[in-house]
Amino acid sequence: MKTRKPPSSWRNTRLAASLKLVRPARMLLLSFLFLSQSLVAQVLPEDQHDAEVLARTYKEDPVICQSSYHFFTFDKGTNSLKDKVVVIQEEAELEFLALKKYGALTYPEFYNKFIQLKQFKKSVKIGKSFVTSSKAGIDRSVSDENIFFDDSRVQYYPLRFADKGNMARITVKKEYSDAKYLTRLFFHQPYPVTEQVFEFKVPDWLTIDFKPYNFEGHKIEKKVTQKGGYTNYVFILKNLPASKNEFKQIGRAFTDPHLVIQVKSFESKGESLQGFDKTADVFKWNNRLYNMAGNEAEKLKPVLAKIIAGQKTDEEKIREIYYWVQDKIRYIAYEDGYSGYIPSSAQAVLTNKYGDCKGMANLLTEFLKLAGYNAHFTWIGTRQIPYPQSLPALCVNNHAITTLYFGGKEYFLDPTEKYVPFGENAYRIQGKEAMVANGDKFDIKKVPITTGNDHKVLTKADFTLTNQLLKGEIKVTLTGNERKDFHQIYQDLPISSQEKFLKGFLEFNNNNVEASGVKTSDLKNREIPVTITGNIDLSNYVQLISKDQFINLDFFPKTLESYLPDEKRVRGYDFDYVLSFEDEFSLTIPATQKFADVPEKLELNYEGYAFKGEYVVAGNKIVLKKYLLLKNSVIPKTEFDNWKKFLESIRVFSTYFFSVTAK
Amino acid sequence: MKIFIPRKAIPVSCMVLLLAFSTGAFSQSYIDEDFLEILEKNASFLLKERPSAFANNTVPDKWNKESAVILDFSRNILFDKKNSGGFFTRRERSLYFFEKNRLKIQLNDNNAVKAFSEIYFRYGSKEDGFIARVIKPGDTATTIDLKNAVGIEQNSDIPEFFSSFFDRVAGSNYQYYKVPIANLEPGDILEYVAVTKSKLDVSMSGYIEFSPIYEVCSKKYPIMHNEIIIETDDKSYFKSLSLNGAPSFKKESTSEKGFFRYVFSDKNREVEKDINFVSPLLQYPLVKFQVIYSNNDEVKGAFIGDKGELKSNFAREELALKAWEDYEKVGDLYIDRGVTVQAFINECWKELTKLGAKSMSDQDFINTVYYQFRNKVVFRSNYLSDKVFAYIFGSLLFQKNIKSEVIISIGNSTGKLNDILFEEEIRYVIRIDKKLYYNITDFSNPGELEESLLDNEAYIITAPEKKTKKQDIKPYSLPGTTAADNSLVTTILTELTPDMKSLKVARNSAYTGIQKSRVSSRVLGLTPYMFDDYRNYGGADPTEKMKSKEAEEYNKSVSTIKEEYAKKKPETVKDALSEEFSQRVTNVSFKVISDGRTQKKNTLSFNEGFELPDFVRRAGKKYLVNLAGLTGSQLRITPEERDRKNDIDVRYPRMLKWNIDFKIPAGYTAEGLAELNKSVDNETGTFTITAKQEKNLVQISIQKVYKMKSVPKERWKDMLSYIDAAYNSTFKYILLTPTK
Repeated sequence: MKTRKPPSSWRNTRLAASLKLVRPARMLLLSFLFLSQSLVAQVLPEDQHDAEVLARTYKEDPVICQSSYHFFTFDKGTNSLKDKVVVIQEEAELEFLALKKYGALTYPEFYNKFIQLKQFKKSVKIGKSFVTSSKAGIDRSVSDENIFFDDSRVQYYPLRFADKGNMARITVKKEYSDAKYLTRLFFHQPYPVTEQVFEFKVPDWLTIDFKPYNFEGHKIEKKVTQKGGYTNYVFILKNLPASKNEFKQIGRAFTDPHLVIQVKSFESKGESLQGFDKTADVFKWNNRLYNMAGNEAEKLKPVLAKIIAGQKTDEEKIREIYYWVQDKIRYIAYEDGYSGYIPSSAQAVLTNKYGDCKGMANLLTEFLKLAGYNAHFTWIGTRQIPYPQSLPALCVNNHAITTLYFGGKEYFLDPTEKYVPFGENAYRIQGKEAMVANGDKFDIKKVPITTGNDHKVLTKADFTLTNQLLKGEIKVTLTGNERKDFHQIYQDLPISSQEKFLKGFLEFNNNNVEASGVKTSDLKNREIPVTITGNIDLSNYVQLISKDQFINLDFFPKTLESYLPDEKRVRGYDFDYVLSFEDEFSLTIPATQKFADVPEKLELNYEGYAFKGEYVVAGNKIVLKKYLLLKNSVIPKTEFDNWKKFLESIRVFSTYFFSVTAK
Repeated sequence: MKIFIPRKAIPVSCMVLLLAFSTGAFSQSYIDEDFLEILEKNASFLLKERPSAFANNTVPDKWNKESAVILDFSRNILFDKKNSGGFFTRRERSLYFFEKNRLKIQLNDNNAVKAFSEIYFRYGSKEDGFIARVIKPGDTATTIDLKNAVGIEQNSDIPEFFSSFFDRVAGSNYQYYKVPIANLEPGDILEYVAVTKSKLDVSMSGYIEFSPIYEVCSKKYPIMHNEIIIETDDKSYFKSLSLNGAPSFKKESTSEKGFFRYVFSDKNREVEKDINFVSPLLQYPLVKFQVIYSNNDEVKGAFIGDKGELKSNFAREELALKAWEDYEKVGDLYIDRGVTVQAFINECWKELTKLGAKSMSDQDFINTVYYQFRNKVVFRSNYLSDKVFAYIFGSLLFQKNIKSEVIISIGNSTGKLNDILFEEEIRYVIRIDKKLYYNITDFSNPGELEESLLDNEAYIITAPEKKTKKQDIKPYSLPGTTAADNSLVTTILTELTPDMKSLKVARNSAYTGIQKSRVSSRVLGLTPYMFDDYRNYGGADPTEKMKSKEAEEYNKSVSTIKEEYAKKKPETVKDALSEEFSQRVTNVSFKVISDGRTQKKNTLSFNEGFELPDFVRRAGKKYLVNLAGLTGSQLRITPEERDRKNDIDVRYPRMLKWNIDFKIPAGYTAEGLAELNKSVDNETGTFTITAKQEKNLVQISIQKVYKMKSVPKERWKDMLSYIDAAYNSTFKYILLTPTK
């Protein structure tokens, strides 16, 4: 587990193998270069034939991996902590075939301090043989932009093909210095694969399990053979389409078939050594690294005393401590080698005033403990990870928080999530099981989930119509994550831009809205709903045609158009939030006028989302009431037909005008 | 940076070999602990040199609401061939750069703390030094521990405030590190001092021009004191020019003989806030400067001052001579790997003679040369400089004894003719009789104007006399354009879809002049205009000279590329339309009618078809249609921009027209046409919209004209009147009422 702060827009930042066509004019020259230098581009008839056949199936893909074979063997070794561990050697060979002229892809191999890249070669097929390039793969860091420093690196080869039917081969040798860090293997790749094979030659001294995930619906062949003190496990999946990243997609681990590798135990010199057989084994490992932080609680005392000075009740003290860590500790992460797993000491985080999620959770836990509260360091996986804590593997957790037992309740405190009030939890950990340290033991606790109604944007505006201008007062109220998100943006703005931001907030990015007299609730208080009020003028909203005035009162439509899937979309959506919008806009017109062409109401109810919108006329006042609820953060692909109808109906409703005519 | 070796020009790639850099591990790794002591030791003397600006800890009240305020930003660079700062050898091969940099900034909010949470420093030679400190309000300075610093990857961007001057002008690869600042909070003052020593092996080069620097005085934050000190020995030359009200570099005396010192000092500079129609180099206070190394006076050539002179302008004679000297050297440069410009010219001429160049009329020959040259450019990955263009074009015309004249000027977003200070600023145009030929792009035709050279003052120059070096230099004004020259005429036929939910649009767009130049790359991108381009100069089909296997390969390549383009183009058109109308568009089609790449058909014309759902609204049984919105998003000037500080640079006058025919659906009448009509006209521009009904068609004619290239800020209100009218009109609807 590398614990790190999952940003609100959590995404996999691994360098995906990218498929592309190279620039045409340049490629044209390149093709002549091939011709003039040698017949590198000459294609064997059988390869040409294969490419022709496969190109009909994989129309969008320029390159296919015809065979991808990964062979894993197991040895015994010692890690840098002097533990006896299982070492894994991986040998892989992949053959790529161009399905298009000038097809190209970039093949990456990732490595770090625990995973060494021992050999990485590219060969190109010339005639019937593969000729190995003397050039090494291009090497660079792939640190996530949110990580200050880590050891994640990649080597990659660009594979460029002059002709359909050209072939290249990649060979890889990797060593996992500790089997814990080979956590899972996905079958699908960013390119299509004709045959994906994972073979494990497991010696008798090793007890290992290969846990299948999302195998349903896929014809994954599993073969088990035994010979000479080894058991061979082979997993084969054929004809895999390319796995492409999509906007706000559901995490791959929820949908794509993969294996979780679990080294349960092994024997060494007659001794049986424990791997990850039970959840307790994972806890033991995590807790051992946690205890290596080297906390010296005494050094926290002076600062703690200042933080809680003047606070009377326990809850006040806890809040002050929690908010102090949120506000004063910047998120800066060092994640190289074991630094990715061992928290910085609480006193180091305090001195530096920066740390990663482990460091912040460690400091917060120590502060709370020192103040006399029942706080515990806790490991947890964010919502992008589907595994329960019952799965004994490092891939279950990717984050660290503090669990506090107080007043008969459990609180899951995440100090990386700035401006969250005490008692509310970040959405990204809701519904997830937390592994809570308790000395040498642990507890599994579930973070409660919230509903869309807990995270609301409530907008109320009252307009009057005067000389074709809509003028009025507006009030926006934000609760839950919407309030937290607001604070995270607002509090990090340059102070010189904050006033403009608030004005822009009331103008809803609508260029025809002009806000003035903007006032807010106490924005230093993260616990109360954020309210922003002001006067607004709406220009260009009234169409005066043949003495009648046509008005669209829905000046802030929630069309959610960016979430309308196109026909190519493969995966469902995961918004990573739930929320609700509630709007009430009224318009008062002169008593000499009346409303006409009033739109009909719209009510939509689906399992994961709902909408209600209606115009209500009372005398010379019309009120638009709208309510949009996202109950689930996930829209599976099977739901797309309903989802599209839902979005289209809301879009149409938001376009309606009504008219104001003389009585 | 450009390095020259006497006699022959050398390819740019050789430059790297000449740079004798000390290198570290170019990857992410912790800093070696041994370096920490050296860094501190090397920089500590600089902390003791505390100029008054750096000693200051107080920010004026007027900037209390700013995110951060720079109290002092100072860079001191010594160019020293004698290596006076180190061991001196008689046959010193290197030019040394000793830099002393310091920054002091008050961080007022979270945003600034975040921006300076990580700082960068260099440790690439053992003379480099760095100390950073944090000063809490009312407290003394605390030194930042650098032990947590990590090396950063090669070629990473180093923020302006932390990059050494040498690394900026020489593009070098010294190792930088980054370190998070402990205990940094709003209200803190962050300061650093840095010293670096860089060296450049100059044993092979007699002349080096370091990249010019354009120092815009205003920064992201207000700045109380900004100082640049350049010190050179007698092998380096310095030139500088201050513009738009910026202070100048001043020459100061030095105690050491053979050294010269130039000081720039700017104080109390606010942040610039104008957004639209601004050319920063022409309007914002700035100082531009350059250092040139030359190991002897003969090598240095023209366009450099005398030893120890602070050169800030050049007589037109100097400018013309430099321009001509550079122009003459072009033939020896490499245009491609292993191919000199002269060899390229020879090849072109060989092909032209085969095409019957000798028997062509002069005008036909000029056009043939232009289009042949363009055909070569089309297949290059980058465009040529206009100096290289002028040389090749002029040389080819010379083969047929067609005399051309060389015109020099400066880009109109860079400065004025009299302000040319660097060789890079000199622009070239060829004149034949009265016709001008500007640098070639994939899409240009002979005689078409270039946006950056409109209305510029220029000189026509000739070769200098051999003995006296005297040249004919005639002042000349490059032509401007009128709005009518640069037009977009959009013809739209539109109607409601049968389900009355969307607007179906068939649109033809015709671009001319600079408007065309601006959009050609986008419009013609992913279209196969390059493959038949040889026809424009009567060239042979590329396959003619090929063996059958090569021809087959070529044809396969071309068809693959065409297929790929055909697949991708609609997607890019759809994206562009979605952006233009700020909504999802559907049923997109695209077809080029004329690519505008010939003299006979020099208008770029193309058809698009698409549907817009949000342009049709319902009101009971009536429909409202936003026909005026078919102009696409129009410029909106925000309330903050209405109070303008700078004059307005519109770049070029232009005329935009939309002729919209809307078919009224059967069973409906159209109303609200008169309400659309609007007309605003003044000296700066026009906006008019007129609507009428002809039988079952609503006909709307819209015109927006930017009449002037440059508008004084006093007339900003005039501009706003038609810009606002155009913006507001895009929200006007017509009403369709059922007849029954």
